[in-house]
Amino acid sequence: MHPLIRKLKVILIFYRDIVSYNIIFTLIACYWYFHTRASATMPMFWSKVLGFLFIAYIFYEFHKQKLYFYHNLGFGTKDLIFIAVFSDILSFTIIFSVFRFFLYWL
Amino acid sequence: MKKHKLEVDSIVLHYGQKSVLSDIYLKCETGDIVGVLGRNGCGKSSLLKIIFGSLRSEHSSVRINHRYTPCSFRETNGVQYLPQNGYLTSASKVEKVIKLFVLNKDHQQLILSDRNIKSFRSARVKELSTGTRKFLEVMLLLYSESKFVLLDEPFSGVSPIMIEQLFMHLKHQAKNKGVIITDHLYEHIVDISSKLMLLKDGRILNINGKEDLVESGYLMD
Repeated sequence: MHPLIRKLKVILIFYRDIVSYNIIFTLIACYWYFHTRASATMPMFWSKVLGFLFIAYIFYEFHKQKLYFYHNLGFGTKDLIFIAVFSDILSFTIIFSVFRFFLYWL
Repeated sequence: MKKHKLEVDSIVLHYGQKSVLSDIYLKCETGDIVGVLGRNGCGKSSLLKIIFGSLRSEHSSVRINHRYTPCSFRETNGVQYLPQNGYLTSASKVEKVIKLFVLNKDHQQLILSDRNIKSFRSARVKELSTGTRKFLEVMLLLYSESKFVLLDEPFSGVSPIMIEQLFMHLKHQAKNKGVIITDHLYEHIVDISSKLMLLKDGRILNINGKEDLVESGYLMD
């Protein structure tokens, strides 16, 4: 297996671990936007920050052992945080864009 | 085959006021099986975590091939670690994790065709028994590309027949990598180790046999 493909596979496994929490907090942000529109920027931002801290807490408190899985595959804690932030921003941008698109047409 | 060298020195670790590790020196080369014995709470697991890079100590120096590394698991094919409670994620499929950790196709087949594993190849890790899971975890590290493997209690919860098989694989793979191993089943460690050490009062003592273990107070007379 090519090292790059191997890395991508590990990233996907990690993303699978956090995606459910990620989507929940993205949907909360979308719900906020649906109700408050223009004034929703700060609450959305903070709901995402809180969501991220919640994911980090859950991971450290209940899945700490899982870190060794990633460490053994060469991923450090900082790498995992970067992947989590990047995937969160990416998925939020996609979901929120789709949400706004439908909101515009409705 | 190139011989690699892992050197650890000046490790100092305190938990509160209690000194756990003080000025530890340890060396492991390709072909070595270094057995580390010690009583509960003497710092064996902490030592392995510091070498691995997942635990920070007040002072430590870990070098691979004379090059200082602050985090040995981040080195390409550097060090891998079996923690006491395992490391595999429960939802992963057995066949997939084998292919993720073991890159050599012959070694993948060797593990997949092992009698303890083959009936679980399409199962998820959570479906494995404690012993089979531990067996798989050790096999993955032994047949991975890493230069060094740290095994913390690899025999606990594993049946005697699986321990015998692990012995065989350990001896075989120790030709290609260095192994640091610790377990409370001291007889297994004494049997398999090429170098034996005892961690006592935060310091490492070199051990030459069971007599030394009795003399140092690790075993009863």
